[in-house]
Amino acid sequence: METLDWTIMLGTLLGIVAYGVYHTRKVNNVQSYLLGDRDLPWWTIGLSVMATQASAITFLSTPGQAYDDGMRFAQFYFGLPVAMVILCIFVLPIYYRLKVYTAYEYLEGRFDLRTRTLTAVLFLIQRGLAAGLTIYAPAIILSTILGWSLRWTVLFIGVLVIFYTVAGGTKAVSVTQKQQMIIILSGMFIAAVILVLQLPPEVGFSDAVGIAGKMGKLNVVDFKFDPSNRYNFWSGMIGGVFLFLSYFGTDQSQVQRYLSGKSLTESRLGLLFNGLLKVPMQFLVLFVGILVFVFFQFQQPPLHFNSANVEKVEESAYAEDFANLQAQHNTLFLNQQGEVYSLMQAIEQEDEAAISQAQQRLQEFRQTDRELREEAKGLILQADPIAKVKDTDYVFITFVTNYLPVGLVGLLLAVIFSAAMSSTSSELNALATTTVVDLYRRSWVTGKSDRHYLNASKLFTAGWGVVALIFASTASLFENLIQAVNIIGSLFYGAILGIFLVAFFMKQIKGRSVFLAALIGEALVLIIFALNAMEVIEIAYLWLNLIGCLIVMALAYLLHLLWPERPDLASA
Amino acid sequence: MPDTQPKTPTEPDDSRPPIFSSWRDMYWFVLLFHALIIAIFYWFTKAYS
Repeated sequence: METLDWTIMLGTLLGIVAYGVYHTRKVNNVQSYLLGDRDLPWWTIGLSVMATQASAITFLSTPGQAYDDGMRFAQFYFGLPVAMVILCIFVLPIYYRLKVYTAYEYLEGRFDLRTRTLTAVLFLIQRGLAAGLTIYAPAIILSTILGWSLRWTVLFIGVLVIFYTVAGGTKAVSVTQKQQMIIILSGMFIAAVILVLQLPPEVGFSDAVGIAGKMGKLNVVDFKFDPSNRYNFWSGMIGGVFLFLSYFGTDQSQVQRYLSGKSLTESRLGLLFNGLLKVPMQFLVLFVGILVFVFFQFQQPPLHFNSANVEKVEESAYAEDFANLQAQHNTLFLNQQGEVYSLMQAIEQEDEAAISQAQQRLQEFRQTDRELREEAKGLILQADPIAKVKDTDYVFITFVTNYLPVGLVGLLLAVIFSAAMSSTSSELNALATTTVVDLYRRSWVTGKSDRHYLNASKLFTAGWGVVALIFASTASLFENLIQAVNIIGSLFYGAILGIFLVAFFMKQIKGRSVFLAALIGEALVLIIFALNAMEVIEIAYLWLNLIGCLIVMALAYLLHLLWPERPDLASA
Repeated sequence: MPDTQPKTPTEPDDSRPPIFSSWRDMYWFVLLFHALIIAIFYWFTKAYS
């Protein structure tokens, strides 16, 4: 990396951190620290909500996904605008009416203290482990490609985030996210423009789109109903609404963003802003991946995008085999490039027969390309049996570091670091808020001064930051732990969502029924998980979200019917 | 720091949205905009496939 890139990257990141700390220097009470004085306008809330959801992996993996699989992943977000409208109608007015600090605080008023505490603890377990992964996942990719130490990359992201999140609390998170989101959107837009400019002079933007389309990459919408197809219109609209209702309605890292709004109106507008912009933003990120795909039709791509894996195999006994594959790949590329030009010409002449022939030949070339890449992965695994050979996450960062002009490399790295920092800061902030409001102040240490709880909030923020850092620094030693974190999320998320859905939509059900249903439901989810681990049954762990939620709702209803609570014992 | 007990509910300030006469119209705008985006994506898929 050149000096200019370092200057731009560090200047951008440190500038945002300094702005956040300066802007929140007068935060001196818990209300300010945890809810940002409830004075944020809608555009800050909207950008903050978007920045919380968009982690660094979004900007590293999504273009690679488009490169490999086309644009159908955009459909995953189709349910989001509908979820935003439902939350604005049903959920936001409830949170605002009760003036809650956390989503779980609402559950005490609706049910009882034990249900609130149980839900808060489930959230802390799940989000506390995920926070480390939010730092680790981009750090492993950036350190591999840039040749940086993994530990220093983790520390760089972690220490900066902890510094400004501890200093300014919620408001620091929101104001820095506003800046970070502006950098992220500008950076991705500039990357798209540069990609078009870097195509050969005879290939224009419309040619690039035409080539991508004819090579099957512009598959944005698929209306065919197919439950086995992960991304289509129906899975996005039905599954997506369910998923985004739970994420935006019950996850404190999101709830805290819109609870810091100036008014119910501003919070609603912030969520609707997210509903309007999120799908086009994902389209942009995926489209950048499509442009990278077209770029590599005219520029020789590597046989394998993870350069660290390539180095390993080149230093092993399989170096010669790999070089042979590389030579075949180079020849294939030249042949394929000629066919892409033929396709382009056929599109210009609107010659359907020639287009069809070119498509057929390109399909054969791409099949051969896939086979060569698989063989390369096989060699890498022979050289290093524990190597991670999925290389789509490395596609975009390879383009950034090798083909962007000096200066823009620094800007795009700032985009990726900004995304890592924005989502991590929300997580730390939400973890500390839930710990203080739902456990520490409510049950552990009651009746202390505002200053005491402010200091406790800062300490818990720093504490959760250290937990995330330790996990991120050691995650490479425990690859299975990462898988475990994803599984742990699915083990608890269903029960949390079930509790909230009962609270919002099954008004007759009271605290005892839902608490027992949550305990039994969680136990059943754990039993199903154990049976799956013992291979007695076979079920993908993502389904545990839905199973946990439905069990809690059904059991709560059954318990309510079989063992009704007396009105005087029930909460309002 | 607020009380440790659940708070008394108060009606939030629920003013009209800035660009439409009611929230219902605002929600319809978001949903129709989303439908338009999907329609454009569908056209994009068909036009270039």
